[in-house]
Formats: sequence, C-alpha cells, structure tokens
Amino acid sequence: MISESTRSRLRVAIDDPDSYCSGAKRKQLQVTYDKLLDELSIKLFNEPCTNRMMFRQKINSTSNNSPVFISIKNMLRKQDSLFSKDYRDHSDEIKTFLTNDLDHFLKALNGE
Amino acid sequence: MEQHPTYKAHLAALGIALDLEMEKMKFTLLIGSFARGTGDLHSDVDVLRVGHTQSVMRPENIDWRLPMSYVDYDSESFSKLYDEGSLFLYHALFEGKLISGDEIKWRKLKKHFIISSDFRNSILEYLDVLTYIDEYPDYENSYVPYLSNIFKCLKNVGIFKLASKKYYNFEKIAALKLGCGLTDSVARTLILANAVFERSTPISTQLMNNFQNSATEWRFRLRDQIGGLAHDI
Repeated sequence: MISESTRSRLRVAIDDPDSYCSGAKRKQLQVTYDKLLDELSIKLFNEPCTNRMMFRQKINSTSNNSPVFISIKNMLRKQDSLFSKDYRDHSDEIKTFLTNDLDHFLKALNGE
Repeated sequence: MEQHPTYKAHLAALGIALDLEMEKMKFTLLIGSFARGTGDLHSDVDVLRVGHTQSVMRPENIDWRLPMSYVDYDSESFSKLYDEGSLFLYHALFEGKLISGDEIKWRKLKKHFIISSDFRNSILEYLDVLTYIDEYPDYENSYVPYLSNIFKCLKNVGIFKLASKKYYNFEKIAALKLGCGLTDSVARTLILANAVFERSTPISTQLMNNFQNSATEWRFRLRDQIGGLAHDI
C-alpha cells in the first residue's frame, strides 16, 4: 500500500520520537507524512492527494472499517499536531502521534 | 558586543511588575499578507495571538471564505523570541496591525527590538529539508505535496537570505524571486501548488498537468538550486 522508502522513513521516526519533535527532523517528518498521504490516496482512491483536509474527508466518508482504515482515520484525526504553527511545545503530542497513531497504522498495514 | 535588551528589561523599563505583566500581556495582531495589504484568494488570514487563545473576529473587508490561521505565542515563547531578535517577531512587530491589546506597550516593545543578523542556521535547516526531499525516491511523482514542500522551504530560505542582507521582505513572491532567484512563472507555480495543498484551492485537470510538468522539472533542478543557495551563506 505504501512505498518501502516511506515505510522505512516513518519507522526511523517512530523509533526515535524525541528527535522528530522539532527542528529539521520535524520538517522531514512532515515531508514524509505528506508523501504517505499521496501514496495512500493513489492506492485507495486511484487519484493523487491534492489536499490533506480533502483526503481526510474522503477517508471519513468511506464505510470501510477494516483495521487499516480505522488506523488511517485515527492517524488523520491527530495529524494537526505535526503541522501546528504555534510556538507552544508540541513535543508530547507529536511523540504520541508517532508512537501511537503512526505506529498503529504501520502495524495494521503489516496485519499485526 | 551589542547586548540584546531582554523582554524582562523592557517590562521593567515600562515600570511594570514582571510576573503580573507576563500574565496580563495580551495582544492580537493581523499579520502576513493581509497586514501588508497584499492578501488575495490564495492567502490565509494570519492572526498572531500573544498570551491568549481567544477567538478573534475576522477583520472587515476580508473574504469570509478565506481560512483564519492562528499563530500563538505564550508569554515565555514570546519572551524567548524577543530576546533572540527573531525575524518572525520582527515581521509581526513591524508589519502587523494591532487588533487588540495595549498599543503603547506594543509600540515600546517595537521601539526597543533588536533583530538578529545571523540567519545561517535557519537557512541551513531548510536546505537540509530540501536535500531530504531531493533524495527521497519518487517524491516528484507526488507532485502537489512535492511542490508544496519545496515552496515552504524555498520561501523561508529566501526570507532569511534577504534578511541576512538587511532586506526585510516577507512576501512569498519576493522571497522566491529575489531571495532564491526563481523566475516569476516558476515562483507562481510553487505558490499555487502550496495553496492547493494547504487550502483546498480548486484544481483543474490543466492545473494538475502543469504541476506534473513543474515537478518533473524540479526533479532535475533541485540539487543545483540547493547548491546555489548554499554557496553564498
């Protein structure tokens, strides 16, 4: 469903969440996450992801309740912390997003 | 060596008890393109809130369909950025339009602000991200996020490079053209791709084709672009 390069980049971030909460690594994670959404959109809807919000709406409008879909829905619901523009410290939220939502998504993809 | 006067020192100069004032200091500003008078249908309505996160009335004469985008600083973050001479704070102080808050205090903070002159690390951070994008296999095939992420990095590199020359211009088109040396057409395509990706700007098949072509071109030029930008930091 997703490329090996995206999967491995996400895995690196999940395994080292402290480093990916801020600075250049956080920006890299944003880049990877956007790529992930595009790959999912092409796989699930046969069209590229042109907007994060619209992709989320499409996913939420599906009635598919497989573990993978549920994990995608959960991940999309929490994605805002990764892209937050304010200067409050979002480290804990991003760590949770990585070690909980993204990790669950990858595990669901693997059928774990 | 020039000392940055601290936010605390300013507050003291204003004759205000620090702890009490930190809690009281609340400002709301219109920032970004609408503060500069250059906002359009591809722009967000950017609002800076300092010391609070209350909802803000949309300024008059701004299209109701445009998304409000909040940037929030608590007192501690604001203080830190002030002491660092943050470029972003400079932009808020000197281009922002005060919507609510004590205007006299805001003017005094503005008057005593000293902007940093070293943006090398900020530029290098964005160049690192561009390199990450460039080395990411097949990213150009995800053309809208690809162009959007290139836009965000180049815009910031451009702004910081211009600021290094003491030219403070926060317009995205100026950052891309003057700061990064892009042509008008290439710069506008990146801006549009970002508007589509971040703000749900409607997209036609023709536009998607343009993005696809642009992404292919960037695939071949991004490394040289990064090298050029890194050359004269």
